[in-house]
Amino acid sequence: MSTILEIRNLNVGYEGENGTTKIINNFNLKIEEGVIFGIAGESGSGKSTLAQAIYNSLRYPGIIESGEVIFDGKDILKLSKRELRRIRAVDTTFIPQAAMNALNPVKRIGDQFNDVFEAHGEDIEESQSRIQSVLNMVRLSPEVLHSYPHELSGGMRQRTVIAMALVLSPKLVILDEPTTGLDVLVEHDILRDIKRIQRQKGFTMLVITHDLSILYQISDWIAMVYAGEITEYGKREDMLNSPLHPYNYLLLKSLPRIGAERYDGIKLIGAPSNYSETNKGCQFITRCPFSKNECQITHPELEAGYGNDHYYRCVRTPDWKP
Amino acid sequence: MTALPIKYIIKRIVIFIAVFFGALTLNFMLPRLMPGNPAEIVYEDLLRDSGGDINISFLHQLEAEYGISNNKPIWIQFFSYLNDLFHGNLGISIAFFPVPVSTILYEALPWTLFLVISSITISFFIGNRLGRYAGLNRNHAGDLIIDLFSMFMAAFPAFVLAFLMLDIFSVYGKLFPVGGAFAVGVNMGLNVPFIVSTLYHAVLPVATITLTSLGGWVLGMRNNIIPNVNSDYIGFSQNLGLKDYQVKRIAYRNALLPNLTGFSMSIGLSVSGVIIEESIFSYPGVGMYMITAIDDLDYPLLQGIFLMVIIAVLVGNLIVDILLGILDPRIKQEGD
Ligand SMILES: Nc1ncnc2c1ncn2[C@@H]1O[C@H](COP(=O)(O)OP(=O)(O)O)[C@@H](O)[C@H]1O
Ligand code: SF4
Ligand SMILES: [Mg+2]
Repeated sequence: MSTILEIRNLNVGYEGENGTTKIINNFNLKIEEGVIFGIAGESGSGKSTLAQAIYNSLRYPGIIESGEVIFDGKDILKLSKRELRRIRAVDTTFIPQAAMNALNPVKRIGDQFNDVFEAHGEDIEESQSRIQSVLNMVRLSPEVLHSYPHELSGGMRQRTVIAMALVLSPKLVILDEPTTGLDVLVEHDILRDIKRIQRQKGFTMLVITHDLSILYQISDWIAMVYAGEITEYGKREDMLNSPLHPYNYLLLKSLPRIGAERYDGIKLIGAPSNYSETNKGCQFITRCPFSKNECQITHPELEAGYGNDHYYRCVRTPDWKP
Repeated sequence: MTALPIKYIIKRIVIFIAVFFGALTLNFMLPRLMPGNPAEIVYEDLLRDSGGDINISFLHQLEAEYGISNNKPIWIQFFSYLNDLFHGNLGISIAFFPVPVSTILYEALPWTLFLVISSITISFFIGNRLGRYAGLNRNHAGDLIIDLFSMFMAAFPAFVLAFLMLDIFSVYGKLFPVGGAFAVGVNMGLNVPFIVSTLYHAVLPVATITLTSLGGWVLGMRNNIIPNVNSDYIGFSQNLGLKDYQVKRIAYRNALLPNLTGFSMSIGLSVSGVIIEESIFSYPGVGMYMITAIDDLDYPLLQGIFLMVIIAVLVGNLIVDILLGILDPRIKQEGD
């Protein structure tokens, strides 16, 4: 397996009146080709900011302070506007949060597909069969092509957006909160279909969500983000069966169906915070029930865990484990 | 392509007819509610001019002519008013006695329509283009200049601008004529001298009306396009790598729709603006006659002019409504 996406020392923030608020801090990550990689974090932890930075679509006041996003051997952050436009939808694609609102309200779906072909120099007549096959994959009838977005349900619009993003068969698909705003049954169906399509086509998928149960349901790999940093990441089974960071441990405990043990009185309390430069120690310290003095002294680095490919950022592992 | 939004269009036309009849009724009532009686005014004028040498029966004849004989029930008067109307009979002018109102309107209306349609069209296109540029280049120098200019023009009184233009370009600069729709001695018809002369005479009035209505378009388009540029669908079309011109086209098209509604409202405004401009530029349109009609208490002529204004505004609204129904699929559904 080769690496398809590598994020190196990424720092992202929002400019404001009192200087820049740091959201993503020295972020590093490697994603192997062909996997579903999930990133979890609470609301406001900077997931959407990270996703937009990776796709180089972050808008002012968001600014990428430093770092590299290597995709296909090239740094996405250093591409010209033109080069960037050319790889979008063709090599990589980004399905934003609240995707069912992402369609142009006054244009028929078919014409919106054709716009994508026109943008990338594809012949519109010859491309119609690609629309048929991608609609078939997301289980939509070709009739949607004659519809306007407001004539479709939320779930159908979501499927339409996914189809549009996949029609040129990109290698890397980034999804931000793929199912928020949909009801539970529709959500479940769409997730199952997304996973099936990924397995069929073999593209790499980066899924970003606050919903841990979704993530554990579809991902091959999972990373947990807290205050702009990865606190732990590894293969799904390792993350699920032997959490190495209190954050993952506590979140899993709050999931009744997936957590192995029953609720035992320890739980995650308090609100997430942004990355704080004044905090020299562990960023999670304000909410960690296992914290000790040693946690205030140095900023924990990501360390390799006991098995292969499992990393955590905690000075007290495994001592805190009950 | 699916068919036209038939149901929606029919609904609009029904509303149009209802409002039109309401307006006709109002137009019928108005002169009857006003003091004085046109027949008496004409009669007394003639009496004064001729030194008292006119038979009283002529007054009754005039009253019959104006359809306001007091001895007929009001509903009979209303039906004969409607009947006359649909036969193009709008009565006899007082100020230009004995010329029928329809003759005056027939001569004046084309000039007014020419002014209104050309200036609205020019200012709609230029205004939307400028607003698009300003909105897509928000807070750049060009945007600031365009905004300032538009706000200034929108706040500037139309008649002051008309006087200024007339003074600067005609009276002082001698670049354009001080009045009229075409030069004396040119034959009306499809010939080059007439067309050139007409365009030449229209420059100042059209420029003035265009300038006074431009600001509204510019600011409307700018303010519509800004939230569009930040909308989810513009973000997604950029995510899909759409070309710059495609993205701008989407933003512009979506911002144009609410501005079209403004278009129908501006028709009424333009018509009232035109009345002032025409009298200042001595342009032989409906507006110039209206000033005369007010001065001379020429009710039949005023009535005829109001009718034209009402029809112009209603037809303008109808066209815009139908256009919106075709361009914006969401509206079509509402109408179903
Ligand atoms: N346009 C913006 N300007 C300033 N701050 C922002 C902006 N967008 C997001 N933020 C801040 O960045 C943080 C992370 O936001 P976001 O990436 O949307 O989080 P998530 O997707 O994980 O919910 C939040 O604290 C939010 O307040
Ligand atoms: S370093 Fe300390 S405070 Fe941070 S997660 Fe580990 S135990 Fe908790
Ligand atoms: Mg988000």
